[in-house]
Amino acid sequence: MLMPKRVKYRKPFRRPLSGMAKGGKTVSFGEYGLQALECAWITARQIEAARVAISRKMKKGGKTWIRIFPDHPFTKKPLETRMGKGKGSPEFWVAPVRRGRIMFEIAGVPREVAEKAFLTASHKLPIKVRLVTRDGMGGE
Amino acid sequence: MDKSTRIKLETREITGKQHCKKVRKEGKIPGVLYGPGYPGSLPFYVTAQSIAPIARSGRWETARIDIETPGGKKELCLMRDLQKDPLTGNILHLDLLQLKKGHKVSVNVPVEITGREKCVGIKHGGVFEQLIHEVEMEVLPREIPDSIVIDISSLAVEGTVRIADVDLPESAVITFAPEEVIVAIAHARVEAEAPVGEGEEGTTEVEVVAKGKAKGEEEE
Repeated sequence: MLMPKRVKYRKPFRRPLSGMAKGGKTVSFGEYGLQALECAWITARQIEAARVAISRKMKKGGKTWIRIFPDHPFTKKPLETRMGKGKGSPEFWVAPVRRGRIMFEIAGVPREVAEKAFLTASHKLPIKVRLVTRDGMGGE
Repeated sequence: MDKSTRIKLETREITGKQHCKKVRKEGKIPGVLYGPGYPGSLPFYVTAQSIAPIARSGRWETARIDIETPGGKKELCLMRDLQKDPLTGNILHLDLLQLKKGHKVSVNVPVEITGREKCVGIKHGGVFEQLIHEVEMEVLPREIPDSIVIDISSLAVEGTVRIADVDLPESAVITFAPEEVIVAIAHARVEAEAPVGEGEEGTTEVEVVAKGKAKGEEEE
């Protein structure tokens, strides 16, 4: 599962997640992309589940890119603990995703396969997504 | 290549974000025209309907546009930039570059792949890989190609199409090296599917760089 090798701070602040993505809004590497239409923290587990779903639908063919990285720790307090006594311990990693962000890209497969792969992947994600095609892609 | 569209520009005297937002609601799109004849750039509006066919064609980078400036001057232009809303796809702003006869212009020409369904290599289990999606070239305005069409129907596994294999206009000077690969049919790689491990998710292995902070937390 994706996670950073080293971080500057173990428990950074939870910054508000609103507005549009600043970058990563265009399909840059592949032919088709999966674009987020809502803001959310996507966990490393969800990213992995979506990646597995995409690669299973694509079978042997094609290439996949993951354009988001879970670099933000999510802390939780243990169950049945009273409030206070400091911030909880990091439990898992999340990728802060704003709307408009291209999360996954694929290439080397027909559009029908890309549609199926992204539909399955969308079931693993907590937000609304859509398929986008590379700008300027002509022909087939 | 020989298609051009005529667009009439309207004067835009007020610039700024707020004004542009208002104008977009009225169905107009703000833009700027620049080039050798316009050293200070000329702000303008165009109607969304007039620019939409070019923007939606997917070939706007190479489309030559005939424009009529607010002063009644006729120019040949190239769309240099097109800003779109990433969610709605609405056009927000456009940049036009004035073209001058006999002066070369740098253009990113999209690569168009045909014959993928008939490709010999893909039928034999190869994987299609496109490494270059746009070819940057300096070319005379009248020779700007719509796109670079590459037919891969006869390409076998491990076959490649390089920059040197592509037919280009006579005046074109390419910034890429001739041996750079545009399209390749590679051997299929079977990705080892890593099982989703429960234990992998722990955050204990992560190194903390910030001085003092990590020490203090360890003591807690």
